[in-house]
Amino acid sequence: MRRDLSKTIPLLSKVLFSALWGGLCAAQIAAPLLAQLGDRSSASLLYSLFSPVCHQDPGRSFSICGYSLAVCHRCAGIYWGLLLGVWFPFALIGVLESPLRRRAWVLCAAAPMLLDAGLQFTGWWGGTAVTRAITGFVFGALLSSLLVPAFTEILHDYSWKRRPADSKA
Amino acid sequence: MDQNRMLKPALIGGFLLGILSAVPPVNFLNCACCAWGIGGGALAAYLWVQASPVVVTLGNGFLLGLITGAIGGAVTTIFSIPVQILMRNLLAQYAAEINQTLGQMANLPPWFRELMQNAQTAEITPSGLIFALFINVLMFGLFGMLGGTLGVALFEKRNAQPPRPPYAPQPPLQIPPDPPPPQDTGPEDFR
Repeated sequence: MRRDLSKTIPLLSKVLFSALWGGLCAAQIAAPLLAQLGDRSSASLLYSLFSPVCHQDPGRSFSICGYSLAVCHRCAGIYWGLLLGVWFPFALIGVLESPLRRRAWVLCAAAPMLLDAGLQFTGWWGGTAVTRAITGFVFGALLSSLLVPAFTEILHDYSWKRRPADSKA
Repeated sequence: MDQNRMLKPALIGGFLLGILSAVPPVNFLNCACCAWGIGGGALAAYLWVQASPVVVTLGNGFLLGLITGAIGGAVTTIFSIPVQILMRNLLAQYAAEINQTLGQMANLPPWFRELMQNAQTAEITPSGLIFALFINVLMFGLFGMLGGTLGVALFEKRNAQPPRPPYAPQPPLQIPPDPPPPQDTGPEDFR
């Protein structure tokens, strides 16, 4: 049966990214649950997985059963934005149609998070858990809107590189 | 994709992010959503976009960022060895004060308290280094990939060619079989 790769490859990249970000979202929730259950070594392993890329301050993290998630509010928002953004139809909005629109989309989606974080440093705005999570979520969705077409492009190229081998076989 | 052109920005971005992620207090910026990881990938993308005579695509940025982050993760692990030795000596000097502060914080989970106390006497072991290398390459690779893609989206101003459709194997051509050769029945005289 002839496969329609123009539909299969984008779907494959969406599924792969869903598995990747879904795994990381599950890991950040599993860490406090494992700590609550008394499995300290597994919980430490999951906490240390995220430690190079997040401050993990308990005061700035959501908590479950009295233990904080493995990442802070903002990072949790980013990971969930990455996961849910995979399935959002960005192509219909046309944000990636031209370099100008793409850049405008990047700046608009990153600006709320940069403002929220920057204003906290200046002391003008304290920020809340909700603003940190929501602005992180939008930034995560932005990243997802770029990653899925980027990986789809790589898979397309790979399908063309494999072509001579197929024809020899 | 010109992989030789990719190596130089990947090395520059990777070394920069690796060193900055290992040296305190600048490594603190990694706590802001792995800023050095994303920044290193974006820097590599910027350098490549500037040097490339052809349009750099999002897919190129994705791969470049992945390589940059992986290099950065390895460099961080190596550079963190002398930093850890220095920090351990420093922590040992103030061990009594740290333990007193930990004792005053009643809400800390016991396993976290133990983790903090172990950090003061932590030995650098080969297995620990391999684990740190694995974690750093994985996470910095991931965030470098985000930075590389983001960098291309931000810095590439040229219009890309429309992507070619994926290669799909074609069904074999339906060629009708050759007609059977005429039977040789010999000259008509011998029939």
